[in-house]
Amino acid sequence: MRKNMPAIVRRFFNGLHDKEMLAGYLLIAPPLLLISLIIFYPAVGSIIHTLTIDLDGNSGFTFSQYQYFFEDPLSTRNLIYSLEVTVIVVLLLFVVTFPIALYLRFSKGWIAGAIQVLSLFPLFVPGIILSFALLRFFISHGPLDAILSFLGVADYSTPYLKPAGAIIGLIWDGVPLATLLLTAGLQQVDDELIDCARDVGANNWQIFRRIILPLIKSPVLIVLALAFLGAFGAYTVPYLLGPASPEMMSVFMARTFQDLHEPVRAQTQAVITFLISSAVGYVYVRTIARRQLDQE
Amino acid sequence: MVALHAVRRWRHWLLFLVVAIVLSPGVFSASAQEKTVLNVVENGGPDIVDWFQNILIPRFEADHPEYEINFVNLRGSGLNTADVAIRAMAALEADADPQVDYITGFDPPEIPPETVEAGLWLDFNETNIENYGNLNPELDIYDWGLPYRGSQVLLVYDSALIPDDEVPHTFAELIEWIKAHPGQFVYTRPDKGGTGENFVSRAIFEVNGQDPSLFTPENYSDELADEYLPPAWDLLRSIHPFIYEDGSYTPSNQGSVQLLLNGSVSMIPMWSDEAVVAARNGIFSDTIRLLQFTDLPMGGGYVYAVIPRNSVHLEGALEFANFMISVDTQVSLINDVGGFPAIKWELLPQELQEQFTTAISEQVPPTFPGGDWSEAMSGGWYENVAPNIDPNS
Repeated sequence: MRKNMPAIVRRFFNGLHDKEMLAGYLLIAPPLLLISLIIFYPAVGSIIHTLTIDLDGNSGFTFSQYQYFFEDPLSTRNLIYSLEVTVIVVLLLFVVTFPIALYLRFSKGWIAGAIQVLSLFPLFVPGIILSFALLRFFISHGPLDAILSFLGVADYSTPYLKPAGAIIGLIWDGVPLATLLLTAGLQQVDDELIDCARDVGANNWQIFRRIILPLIKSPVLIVLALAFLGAFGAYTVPYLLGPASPEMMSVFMARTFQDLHEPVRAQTQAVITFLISSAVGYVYVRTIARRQLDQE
Repeated sequence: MVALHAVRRWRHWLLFLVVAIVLSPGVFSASAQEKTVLNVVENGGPDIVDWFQNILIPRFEADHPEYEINFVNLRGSGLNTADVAIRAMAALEADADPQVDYITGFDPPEIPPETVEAGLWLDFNETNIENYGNLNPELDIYDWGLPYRGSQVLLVYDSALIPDDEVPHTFAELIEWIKAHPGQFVYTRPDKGGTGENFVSRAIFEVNGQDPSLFTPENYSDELADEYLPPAWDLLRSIHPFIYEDGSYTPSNQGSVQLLLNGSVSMIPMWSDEAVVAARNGIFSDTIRLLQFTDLPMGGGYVYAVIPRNSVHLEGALEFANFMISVDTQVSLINDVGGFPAIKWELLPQELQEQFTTAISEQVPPTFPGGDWSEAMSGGWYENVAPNIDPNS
């Protein structure tokens, strides 16, 4: 890390003297400005707001908003629930997508093609439609209920409006991106490397453990980070499929702001969510930066 | 502040533009046929707009060939009826034509109080319009406004699943029924769509002597909330384990309807207009019934029409007001948009009265005040009922 960041900074200043690099900076300047204006500026404003207004609305530096959040059982319960759901979603997403990605990497033919299309399909379905489709499928007295009772399972309990409903929806939502990134990562593993390993007598597990896994460490980290961010910030799926309580942070925030009209409390929830997300975002950015430096 | 003024001014210009654009064809055709053009402003959903444009206005114009209605729907324009009211007030002060004759679809809390204080609105008591006596005297009838359509939350149930002698008719009976039939009832979260809100507020009224007058927009205090609300949380927590899927609450009115339609539950609270339309369109099976409590009904409300005193077509505006509360229009309100009529039930055709007999309440739907009370209700429910955590544990 210490080796990398200064290198990036050094490259930035060197780039200012380089015409080609300068053109690059000019190209990224408008989006950078836009992001600063519509994301960083209000975000910093919110953070300052939460630190300068106390619970009674008096101004002056204070941690009381944060103290309230961590002392309020409902708020902490919602935060812990959001983290739990997110971690479960990320883990299950790996369990689901890693075999698909491995299969897609090492098989060819129309079945592999069909699976690839299927795994990408949710990418083209908006979250709200996806939620309603899932809802109709696993709701009580729905098709899944009917199939299970046909098979003799009598006491079906629907995941609809329970944490499991939100988790299933978020996994479904996350499958395409995770599969896409993992498959792309696996494509970079040279066939020759695997053949060599096999020649010297390595079995499949050893190939996976000693060759593939080390080589796709950064795509895995990227998938971990993006899946975490996607699930942790999700709104539509947990709102439509999850329980009334506990709530995911986005749903909680929206309700605090719109229904309870407590903007500063909602901002505090947002800042806490943002800090957790940016810690994960940092892992993502660091992975990307290291990859780019490695490739040169 | 400066920005706010700029926005206001900008909104006035926009309103002027909207009115100018919609008026221009009206003015031309009126001059050609020498008809008086009445400017009617509405702020309703698509079903209401459809009702005005395709049923009411053609009917009114056929009955009154001397008038032509220029119908302006504000929905989606970024303006609301209060903006038009403020503009009419500015016209009153400037002694100018407000360019509007009839504003409909006001929720009483939406009406800017200064317009009422300034006497901008025609006092319907003084007008002696023919059908004014038709109004249901139980309604909140304000001098400044004419109630013309309402909706309220009803219980909707499947009579194929609930025998007649088990159907609850009071809130207390409903609570017993829910406990006796685990998983057969669901209500929507109180911050989503209004049916859950009215169910929860009915529970609050129940534990406070069924007296809605205890709750006014002005009397909120944390102390009062701590006195009135916790017994309701106890009551709602007592039925929590018996709600659909061990205490699951739907995120929208539609979510509850879906569970009723697919047979997962057999009873839900539902808006009257949505229930009437669903029944009429065949979305409900023949066995679905509507019901209101025989004691204090669940909440709801009426919307009102107002006429600015400075309208240049007062006579026509009053003619239109009279038309809106005529028996024919009110029958159409029930049949075509599922609204609750503003006139006395006994004026309606026998067949309609019978159809609604279980849904009609002797009492007017109570309202739970918005603002602090509503926030305390919704926030309190999320803290005390939905998590199902015993506060004493």
